[in-house]
Amino acid sequence: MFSRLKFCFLILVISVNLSEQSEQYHEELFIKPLPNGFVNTFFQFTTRWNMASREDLLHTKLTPRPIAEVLYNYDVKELNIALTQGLWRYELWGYPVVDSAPGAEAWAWFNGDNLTESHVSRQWKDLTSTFSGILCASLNNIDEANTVQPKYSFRPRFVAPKNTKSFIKYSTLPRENVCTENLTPWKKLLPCSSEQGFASLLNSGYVHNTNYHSVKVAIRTFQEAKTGELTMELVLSANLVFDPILISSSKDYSIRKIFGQGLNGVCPMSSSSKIYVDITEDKFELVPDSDDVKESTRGASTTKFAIYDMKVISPNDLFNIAFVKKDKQNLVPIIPPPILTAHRYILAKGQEEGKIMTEVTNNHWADLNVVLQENIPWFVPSYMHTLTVKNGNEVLKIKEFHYIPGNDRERPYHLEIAFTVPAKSTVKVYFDFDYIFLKWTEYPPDANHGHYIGSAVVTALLPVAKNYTTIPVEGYLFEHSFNASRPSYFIQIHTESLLLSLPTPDFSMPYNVICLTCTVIALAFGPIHSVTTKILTVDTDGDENKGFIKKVIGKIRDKIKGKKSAPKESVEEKPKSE
Amino acid sequence: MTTEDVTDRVSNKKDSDENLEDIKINQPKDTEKVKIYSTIAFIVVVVGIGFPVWWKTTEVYRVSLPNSQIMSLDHTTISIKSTVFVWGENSEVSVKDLQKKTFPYFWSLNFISIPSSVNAGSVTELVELIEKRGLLKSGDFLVIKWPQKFDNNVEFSDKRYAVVKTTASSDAIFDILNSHVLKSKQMESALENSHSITSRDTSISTKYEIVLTVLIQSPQTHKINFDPRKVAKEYITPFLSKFSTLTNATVKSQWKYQSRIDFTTKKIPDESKIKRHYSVEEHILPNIITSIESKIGSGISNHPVVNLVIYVPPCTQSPLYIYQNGAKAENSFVASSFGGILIYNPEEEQCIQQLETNEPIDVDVSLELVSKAFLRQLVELMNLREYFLVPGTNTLNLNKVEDESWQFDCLLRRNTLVYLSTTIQTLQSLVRLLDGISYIVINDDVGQSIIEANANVRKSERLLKNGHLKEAFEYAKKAYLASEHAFFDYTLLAQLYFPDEQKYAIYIPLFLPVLVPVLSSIKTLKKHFFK
Repeated sequence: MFSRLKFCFLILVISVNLSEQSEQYHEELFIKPLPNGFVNTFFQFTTRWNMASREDLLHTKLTPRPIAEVLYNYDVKELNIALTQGLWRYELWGYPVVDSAPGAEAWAWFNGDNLTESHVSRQWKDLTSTFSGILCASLNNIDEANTVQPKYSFRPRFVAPKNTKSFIKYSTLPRENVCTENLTPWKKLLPCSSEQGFASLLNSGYVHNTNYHSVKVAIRTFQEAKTGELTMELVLSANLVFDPILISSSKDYSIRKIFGQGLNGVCPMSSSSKIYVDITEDKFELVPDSDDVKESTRGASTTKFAIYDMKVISPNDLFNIAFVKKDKQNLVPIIPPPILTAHRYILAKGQEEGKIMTEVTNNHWADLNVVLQENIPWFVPSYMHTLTVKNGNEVLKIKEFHYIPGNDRERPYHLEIAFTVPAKSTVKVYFDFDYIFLKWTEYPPDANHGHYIGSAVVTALLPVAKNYTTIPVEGYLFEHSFNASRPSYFIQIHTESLLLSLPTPDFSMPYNVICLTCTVIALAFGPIHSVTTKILTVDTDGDENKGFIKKVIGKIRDKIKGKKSAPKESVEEKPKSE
Repeated sequence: MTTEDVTDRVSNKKDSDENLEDIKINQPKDTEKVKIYSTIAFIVVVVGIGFPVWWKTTEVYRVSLPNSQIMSLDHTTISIKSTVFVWGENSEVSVKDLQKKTFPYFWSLNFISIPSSVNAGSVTELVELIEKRGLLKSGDFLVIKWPQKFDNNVEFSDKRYAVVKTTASSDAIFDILNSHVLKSKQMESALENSHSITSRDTSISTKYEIVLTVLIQSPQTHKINFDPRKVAKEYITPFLSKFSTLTNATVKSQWKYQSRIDFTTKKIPDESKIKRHYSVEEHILPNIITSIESKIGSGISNHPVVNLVIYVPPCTQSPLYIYQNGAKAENSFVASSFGGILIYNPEEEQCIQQLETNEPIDVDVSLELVSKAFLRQLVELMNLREYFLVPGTNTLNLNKVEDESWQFDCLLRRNTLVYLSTTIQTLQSLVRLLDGISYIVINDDVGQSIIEANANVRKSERLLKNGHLKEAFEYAKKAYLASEHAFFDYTLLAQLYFPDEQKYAIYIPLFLPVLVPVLSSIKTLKKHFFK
């Protein structure tokens, strides 16, 4: 089973028509009413470009130039960058088409001639910095200290000509806030401006009102060994979850209500432009209704889709689909849980005896093999001798174990373990960690907010495709997932990211230290200096009972009186030389 | 409160004690000596040890630089050696006359007459003969007085020679050399005005990118038949490859759809079939560039970019013409830091058809026309115009440039001078900056670059003086790159955010209570030793 998990993607056969030099652009929108009354809208903009040679990357048509230049300048063959706000609730929403970790997540595969580990590290750094500019995100903060090289969890989805070694780099930035500044540059990567086509629905005011939103850039390449022909696939996707009650204060909704405006035509550059609505549950009446209804049977579960081909409909004004609830009764839905879910939390007594606990639940009637990846930052020293995998009281066997210990400021703790989750049970994976002090410049602004730990990744091959909408690896359009029955279904889910409050020093400390030091020196040095260097003499002047002010006045008076007082003052001077 | 006050009080208090007289009297001489010694010890420790330690530990790291050497660099002392050979009737006389002429200060010209014993049937054979003797190296030039009838006074070759009439006077030859071959004016401006040339200037940057952009506003109704790849591969890349010694360029292309360009046009009725055209005034052109710049996006490299944009206006706005002083002008223009823009109007008849039926039309863009316009714009943008003008005319000859030609020597010379004077200026301003701002860090890498740039400038100047143009260019380029690297290195700014004022805020409360008693005790010492 594990070897199958490991190699299932290596032997994939990708049917690509490489003979023809062409560039195609597809836009798709998938709308799925979720069981709990929310609605999931998934946009996918796919550009596929067959070219004769690598040099063609310099001359772009539908592909954005920065993306083509990235492929031209670096040995990157597959790149995935996702920016996500919110957490995908698997129990309530099922599985998304594309899953990603909260915050920013990036991974890339490198493959090329004479590529070494140090080349890859440098390219990875350059690549993330470049995308930091392209997407206006803080991806430039990705470095060796938060990058891991997964061994089991991630499989390549690209085809390289030579059987050379591929390198993978994976990193997450759980603290990243995703906002308008990321959506706008992301939209600029589309060939059509946001005036026309599906991109016109992505108005930041509405997108950021969602319960969950995630934008993703995914690039992969297929290169033929003999001819050097290259196919590039760029998928820009946006996954949004709306709560219709918040938007329209009723359970009915429409495209116009959730996006703020109707669909303004299609992108003239697109080869296809389709909307898919999941009507399996049949809870809503669609206005206008679609004649084109397709049934997709995948892994014993059947899904019904209403399809709107916008190229055929080509409306003259803004196009809208209204979802009117058929059954107005307020029924509490019973939501069947997905097969595999995972959660994570921290156990600790105050700031001592910290424990990171991950729970993996299998709701299926058969055992499930999973791979769990933990990417723990260096500032959370973890003790892997305490690693325990337990199902109730029974300790489970770890079948594969890959662990790279962390190193302060250089390398994160990277753990990958494979184990079997027995049927209908929850496996707990936990290990101890320490709370440590950092250097005072290493605390982020608002240090008391806490430090984030990126989500764990759980990878598995599901035996059934219930709640499963992911596009198969050899496909690239949403419709390729129709009737795509396979022996098993690859799934990757992310747990919550954790917020860890480390002991935080008092940041006015340097100021206090300066003040204290100065005071101590002033108080200590002055008396010591005078005691050791000065001699006590008797003041013959009898004004000892006068106050300080009177003394000063007296001195001024003496000065005014002139020379007469001068000898007296010299008598007062101390220490006397004799 | 100073320590004097403290002791003042102490003494005042003790004064009341009756036994104090005794104390004073009983104070042995040794005690006083000890006190003096301890005063000296305090001064020694604070000034002799404390101060140097503090100074050393808080010092800004700076590699020692050849400051005086750099400041002594001077672009006006650059001298370029070049040998001019003269062949033909009375060549000795011409050489003698030419030697008396005054060329601008930076030339150190060497005139040599080639004896008429070297002879051949034709000009080309003669040149071959001379070249075989190892003469006519990079930077040299040959003037041949050939008894043949031309329409012009002078015939320039594609190599390093020119043919003049046998009757040509020395003044005429001087003129040809000074203004055409040596281009003294251009060289002088390259040497003097280099401060106006920035590192983003494509004419001197060592690596840059050329991006061809096809801008289409309504792709649904205008299908453009045009392959920018062909323009890049068949026209621009071959042209640029001639200059590969000077600069390295990558040519890229992109299409941008649905790019509405915002600028005001005026509808002008006319006699054509479509009965109107649109005009855009010259002073509005900067608005167009701003609008286009936001549409064309950016690449991922740090090299300067030259944009060559072809804009196809939609039929509802075409034909579109640029107006200059109330008259139609050329439909393309150049903006120095941006690139060139070309407006390509669809055919009139097609537009009439499109406006009537609203059916999509095919716009066939002439490859040759666009390529030539782009090449002209490139020449303009790279400041190459003077080097391709056929002398005495207004036409550009773009095919003439080869590595072994006098035009290429000119370009090499110009770039060498620009590199040298820019490097000198960069280094000198860096040194001045370092003198002015004490907390700029110079790490080993930057220091090495500065030293290297300084050394290479000197090497290049020496080579130029000895007439080795190509080598001088290489070193000048190295010096230029090193100086730019040093000047723009981010580590220079490492401590710029912690200015001196903040240091005082920490040091004053720390040092004042220590220094005041110590310094005031110097007075006591003075009294003790010089009473």
